[in-house]
Amino acid sequence: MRLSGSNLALHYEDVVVARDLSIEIPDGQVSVLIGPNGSGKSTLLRALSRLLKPKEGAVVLDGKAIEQYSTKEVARRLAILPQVLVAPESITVAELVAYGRFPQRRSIGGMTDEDRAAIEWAMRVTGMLDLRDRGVDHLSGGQRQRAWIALVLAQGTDLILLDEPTTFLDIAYQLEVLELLRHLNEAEGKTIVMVLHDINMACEYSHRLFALRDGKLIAQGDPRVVLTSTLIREVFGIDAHILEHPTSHAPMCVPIAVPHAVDHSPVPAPA
Amino acid sequence: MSAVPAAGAGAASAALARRIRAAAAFAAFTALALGGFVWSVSIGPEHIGFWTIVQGTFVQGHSTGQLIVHIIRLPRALLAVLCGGAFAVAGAVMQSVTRNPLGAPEILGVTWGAAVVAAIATTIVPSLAGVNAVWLSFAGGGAAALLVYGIARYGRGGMSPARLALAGYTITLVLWGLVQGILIAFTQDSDKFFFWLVGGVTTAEWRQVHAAYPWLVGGFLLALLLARPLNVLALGDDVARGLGQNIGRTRFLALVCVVLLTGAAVGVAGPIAFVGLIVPHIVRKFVGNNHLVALPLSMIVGAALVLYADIVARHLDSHVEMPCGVVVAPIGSALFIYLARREKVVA
Amino acid sequence: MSATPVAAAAAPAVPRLGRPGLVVIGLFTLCLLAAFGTMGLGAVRVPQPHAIEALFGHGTPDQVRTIRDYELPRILIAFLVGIGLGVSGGVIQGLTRNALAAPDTIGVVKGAALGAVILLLAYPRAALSYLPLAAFVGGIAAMAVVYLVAFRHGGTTPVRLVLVGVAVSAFCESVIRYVMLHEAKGIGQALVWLSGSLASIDMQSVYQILPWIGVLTPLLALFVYKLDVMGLGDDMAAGLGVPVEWTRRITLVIAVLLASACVSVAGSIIFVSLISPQIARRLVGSRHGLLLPAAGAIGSLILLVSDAIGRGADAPIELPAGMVAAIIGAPYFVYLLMRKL
Repeated sequence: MRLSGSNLALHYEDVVVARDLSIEIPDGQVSVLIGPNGSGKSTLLRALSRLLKPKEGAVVLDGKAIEQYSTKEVARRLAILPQVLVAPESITVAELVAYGRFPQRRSIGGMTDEDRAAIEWAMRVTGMLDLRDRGVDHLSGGQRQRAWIALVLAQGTDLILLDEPTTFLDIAYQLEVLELLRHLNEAEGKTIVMVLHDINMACEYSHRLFALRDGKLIAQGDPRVVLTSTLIREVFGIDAHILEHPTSHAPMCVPIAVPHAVDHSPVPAPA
Repeated sequence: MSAVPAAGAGAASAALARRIRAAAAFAAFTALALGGFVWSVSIGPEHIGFWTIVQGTFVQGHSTGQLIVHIIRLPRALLAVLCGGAFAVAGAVMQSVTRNPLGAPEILGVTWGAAVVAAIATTIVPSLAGVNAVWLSFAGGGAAALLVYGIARYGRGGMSPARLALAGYTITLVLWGLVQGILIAFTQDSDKFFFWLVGGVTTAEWRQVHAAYPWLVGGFLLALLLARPLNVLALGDDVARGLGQNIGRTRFLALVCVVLLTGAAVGVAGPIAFVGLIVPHIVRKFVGNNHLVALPLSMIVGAALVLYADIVARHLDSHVEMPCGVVVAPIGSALFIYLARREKVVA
Repeated sequence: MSATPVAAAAAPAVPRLGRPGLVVIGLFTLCLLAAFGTMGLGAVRVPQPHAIEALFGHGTPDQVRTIRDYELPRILIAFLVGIGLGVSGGVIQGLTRNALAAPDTIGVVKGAALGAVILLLAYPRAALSYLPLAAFVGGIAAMAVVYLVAFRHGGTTPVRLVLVGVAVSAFCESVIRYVMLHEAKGIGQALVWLSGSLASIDMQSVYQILPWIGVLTPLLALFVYKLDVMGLGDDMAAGLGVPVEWTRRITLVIAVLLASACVSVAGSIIFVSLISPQIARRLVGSRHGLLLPAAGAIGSLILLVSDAIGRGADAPIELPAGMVAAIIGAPYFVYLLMRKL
């Protein structure tokens, strides 16, 4: 198992997000972190990708503490697609994807054949070859996300971490992106770790679900086993039915509505 | 603080506490301002006792002390009060309209528009200096404000707080370069003019008070009238529109108010920077965001600030009497630095 | 993968200005033309073909002296300072991802000016050769303060950096004014220098600034690709292996050194470092390898023209180059504001 974190204490701008959190990421599978806002799922992902330094504990990558690698070395083993993505103005898809080769390239010097091959492959796998000369600003939401994923793929790592890759996309694009990620896992053997907001998408696409609340790992495992109404109540604070998806048989969570409570106490006279 | 009544006994006592705090703030700052006023009039190369001050103010006496009070000290203190209040209220209105805690008439370019025109007047066409300075300041300040407003409004995307602030900053940069250039190219008297540029009430005279106060009073009244609309505007453009407010008109009137107050004040006292930045923050700490209370209090705090700054400035340097702008600016910019550090500041 | 309807329509390829490399060369050629073309404009007019000849020693002693001793240094300084300011502005705009960022907005220019003013006025008998040093110290001190204040939880954000920069500039400005008022006699002279006038430049200043521009600008060439990657966002850049904070610090220091050197020699010229990178961006795109040289060339062009106008427009009155540049630059900047915000 290549990536794990043990006894992590995570702080974000003076707020303690997690204490003594441990996690092991299974190789060759899709792992998804879910939880309410403030549960620490994004913070944990950032810690695993060394974007955030844990106050205590250690993140271990390929047998070594992640801080012991240089930034470039980490980038050669692990790729992260953060939530905030800034595309420079008027850049083409091909140029954007080319940035993914940065960790492999020397400071001075042009692109090697290996670089070019990696870029081509990344664009082919994500279906962006036809759009290679299109400006990134002129892409649809789904296309743009795929372009960024191509960038991350061009890095050539087997470990890919994604922070909410689908949050602002229309549902069609969400499926598009998630299917791509599933393909990358099944056909190319990539280990995928992502934070998702949507519980049902998480269950559909993950091999291993990690449910967090208040910086603690409440449950982990195969969604079919782990997703119960008790878990939903404990993690999200709502009641839900757990059903089975008619086609894929993945578990689905359907919330149970609670009628709005009207306050009948007397209104005090205005001050 | 919101105008929506909150249910529950806890909220009622919170509201009461707020009122008490506001009243206390008013009382305290008014006392401070009055004290500062008296102090300002009494100190100087010739120390003047309290009774003489009273006599000099209300009775046209002929003793030296009373004359000094009447001709020199009184106008100076009055000007400090009026201009301090003006810059402060203008700043409060600006910060509200731009929803940007860094808003100030300087940002809008008004101070510098006024300053440029005044610079041109004093150096290139000297006959225009003096009382007419106020009119010229309006012209300059108004033109700058319109320019800034136009840029912010008609550029792509329409008016937004960030845009207004940035447009204002640019114009300010240009105007500042212009002022300096004019100073150098056209005048031998750069010393004197530079003195004015720093902003202060050192050379105050009655005619300046007379020239400025109608505009300032008008500006203050306009500000008070705008208090409620500004409260609503603070809830956000969409919400305000939803509540039936004409936000374009409110913004425009607010701009007019700022130009009136700043133009007149700059015309007589020069651009005293940062009063408009500091005071609204102090006031907000004490009484929150309700403009009905905040604007009058800003007037008082601004007056106090300039009065005391002037007193300090007079004694800062042993051989030169400094204008109060020299004292306000470092404090103001230090506050600016502190504010810029906070997360919430970005518009 | 599904082809979305958007892809079907005629895809607009990214608009580029032909070959950007040629544009950069073209810009530098323009600089050369401006340099030679504006020779001879000044309080003492030397009509054109004679002006260039005078440069090489042919002509009346007066003409030769005017051109060689008076105008040549100014033109050289305008050229070098323009490059320094343009490149510095380009780096800082890239780092802060903010169109309004420039050495003046992160406190460097005012800090440098403060350092120089203190020297000029408080120690009027100190040798003028200490001026650049004083400016350096001021500029770097101001930037250090800016960085320290803006630095939180191990990093800064682009917006906070600019905001704090503007605040520190304002503070330095207020102290400058105090110092100037305190030493009332020297105000005129200090003001002249402060507003970016190249009136009292001689070859000494050229030798002073040449090493700085000559060493620091090529140094930046090493960072050009990293700066590009940082344009993808801090997280993405870190994810790709760029040591973000370290790169930011070093390039910032180099940019500040460049700007300080320029201020120490030519006073506080604002605006040039603000708009040169913007114009450059529109001409050659945002890849730093092209952007920085282009910004430098444009900065030079602006200053060369500004100085020429300042010299020749209303002779014998000398308008400071900084003021002329501000007037030239303002409309473009207003246009930028209206389009870009």
